[in-house]
Amino acid sequence: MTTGGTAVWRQLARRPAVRTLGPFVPVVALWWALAALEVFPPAFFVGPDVVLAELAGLLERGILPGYLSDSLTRLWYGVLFGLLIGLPLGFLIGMSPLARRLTWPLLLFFQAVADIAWLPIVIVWFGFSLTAVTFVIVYTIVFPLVLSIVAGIEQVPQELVRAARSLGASRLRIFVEVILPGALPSVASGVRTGLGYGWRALVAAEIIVGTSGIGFMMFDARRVGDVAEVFLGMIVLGILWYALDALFLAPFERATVERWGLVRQEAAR
Amino acid sequence: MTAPRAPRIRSVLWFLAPFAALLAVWAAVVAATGVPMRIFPQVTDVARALVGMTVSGELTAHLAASLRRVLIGSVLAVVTALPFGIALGASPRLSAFFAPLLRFSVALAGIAWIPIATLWLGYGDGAVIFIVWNAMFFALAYNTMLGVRRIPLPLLRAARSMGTGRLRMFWEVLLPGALPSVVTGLRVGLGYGWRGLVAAEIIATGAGLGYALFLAQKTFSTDVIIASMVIIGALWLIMDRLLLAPLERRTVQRWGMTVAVS
Amino acid sequence: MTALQIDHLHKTYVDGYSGDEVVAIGDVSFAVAEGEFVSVLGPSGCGKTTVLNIVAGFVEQTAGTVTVAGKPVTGPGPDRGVVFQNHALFPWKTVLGNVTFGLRMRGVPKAEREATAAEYLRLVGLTGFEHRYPHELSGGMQQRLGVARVLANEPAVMLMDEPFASIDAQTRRRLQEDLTRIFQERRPTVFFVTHDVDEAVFLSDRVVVLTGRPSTVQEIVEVDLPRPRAWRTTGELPRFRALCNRITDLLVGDEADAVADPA
Repeated sequence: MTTGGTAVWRQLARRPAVRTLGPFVPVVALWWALAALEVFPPAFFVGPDVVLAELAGLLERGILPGYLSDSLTRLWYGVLFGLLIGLPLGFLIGMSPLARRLTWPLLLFFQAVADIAWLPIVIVWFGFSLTAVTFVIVYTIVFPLVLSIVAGIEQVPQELVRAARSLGASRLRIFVEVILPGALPSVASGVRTGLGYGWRALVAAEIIVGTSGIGFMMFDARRVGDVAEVFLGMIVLGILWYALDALFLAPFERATVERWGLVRQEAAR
Repeated sequence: MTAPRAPRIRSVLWFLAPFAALLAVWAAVVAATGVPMRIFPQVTDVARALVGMTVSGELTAHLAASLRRVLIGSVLAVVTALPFGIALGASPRLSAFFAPLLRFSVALAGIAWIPIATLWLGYGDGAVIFIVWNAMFFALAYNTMLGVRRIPLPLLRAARSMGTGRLRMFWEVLLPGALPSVVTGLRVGLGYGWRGLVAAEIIATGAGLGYALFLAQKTFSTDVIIASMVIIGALWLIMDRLLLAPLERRTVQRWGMTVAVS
Repeated sequence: MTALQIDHLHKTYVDGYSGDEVVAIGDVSFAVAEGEFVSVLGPSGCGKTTVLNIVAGFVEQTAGTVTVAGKPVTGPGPDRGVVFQNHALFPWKTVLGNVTFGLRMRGVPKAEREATAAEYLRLVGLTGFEHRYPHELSGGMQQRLGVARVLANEPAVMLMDEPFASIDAQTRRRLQEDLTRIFQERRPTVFFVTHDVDEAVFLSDRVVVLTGRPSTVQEIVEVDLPRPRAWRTTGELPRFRALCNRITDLLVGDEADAVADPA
């Protein structure tokens, strides 16, 4: 490769879009090859070209956008209510040592009852409906969020609170000026974890409750043996969550931490 | 000297007290409002269901099925993801290149694979185990890779300058060095795997706790539903608190490495 | 005018693990006049930080009284500003945000706040760093910011809890000189806890030497060295060495007594 060539390559490699899409190129190529060579029977495995055709078809008929908006709307409502419930609850519990002691074991336990395990009882209560799905997503988000907030408040260094007190801050101001910012990285982390579970719960709920949405689309396609549509659904889901996490959640978490120079680990959710 | 032991018993009691309170409130509310069992069972109904399931052997059968699948899936995941993650992490170029792909796979891991898994493997054990493996594998591999990348360079250099061979590097430097992230990966992965298990069992099989839930829902047997939920919750608590947390304590914390917040 | 009065301060607590009662402070009494720099020294475990925490209002005493500017201490407050060992700066606030924090809490209007802040930042030598975050500053600069944050509030007493203990030796010397310069210019009342004898003598007007546990005031040593002070000059004076030796003897002697008579 000429020096000019390597320079171009290195320039390209620096752009985030290229870095992100880079590894998918060999994978897609391999995928295409496996399908073209019919290494697996076509009933079980189709190539990217077929999936693309499927995508075009679904887009044209407006089905995919419909399902997509259904899924996203449910997620949105779930997140909204999850935050509306989880944030105040988390801070209320976190600020009261008594409340913390009383509720911590309960929180742990309810967090342990897999969100998806709530689907059957929720279906009994609300039927195969949107409410059922939203309930599960809200539940999925609330508990990790509350647990993270409580833990986050606990790890605010006592000295910061003392410093604020010896500078004349009232209890309310300590909450606003010290506790809230101090717990913010944990809140970001809790939101990220909660949404990770919520996203998966959404897919499972759609499959089980089965009215609409990408999860339903995949399951229905499986039922009729339409492999391309199943593949398509998976890719759409993957892209959606990856985009949500990489473009919003992770930067938010990182921003609170980096800007304030706190030391944290970045884990994948 | 009883002082160290007494706090232990006290802390266990403190842990259980809220549950006792919850049960009391539950019983009182159901009794007071007279809500039908079809909508919400009484504590005694659930207790009876639990006993019934145990006596009839149903519970054991379901438990065995679920636990077996989790065990197989997670062992497979650990055995495949650790070497893969470490090998990937050991090469800065490879890990930088493939990181987005791995992240994408984590985004997809587990439940989203259920339809395709049932297509490829049919309904039954195979599909469920696949889902558990799938959910754990990607999360664990990604976190392991991150963990290896985070090993401080001086540590790696020190090992290399002492002539550490590749295999030894793996066992004695890379694996322990990546341990905090590996443990995080285990926790996250098992969390996804567990949820994947329940979902897969609801959708795809004829035995297991998820299936028990599914069946009970069809017959509106809320007492069995709640009994199964309690068991699922207790199981996960046991797995997380009695297995994972001590694992973390005995390795990561004992060696004074940073601890991930969970 | 007495800024700080401590009378027969006594503090015990129950050791969480062994269940024994521990005497943190035996019987400590002394006073600090307005504009005076007083250091408190003592062997490890003598409770000097506990005394500071009680004066600051973070911890309650078991017996005895603490009065600041005539008023008894009932809790933390801006009249007793604290400079912590690990600075305790608010990481999410800029340098300016940290310095003006106390002023904001007291409702001082913006223009006045910023003027005061500018003045104290100049005093500690941090002008130009207003919009940086604490983690961008070096250890020495962080401690200087901590001092500015407290002084901007114009407390009756500035409490300093081994503020230079985790700073490297060279920076520590500079910070000590900065502190004595600030003291020279502003004459705040300072209550300074340390374990470093040289530091105590260099900075203070008087040094309170505590005994080991249960602690009492062994002796209060007058530091009659001329001001202003600098390491190059003051540190070379024979009087300086004599004072340091005197205090070291007190500490060691107390230790030797403790060894000879293990109670």
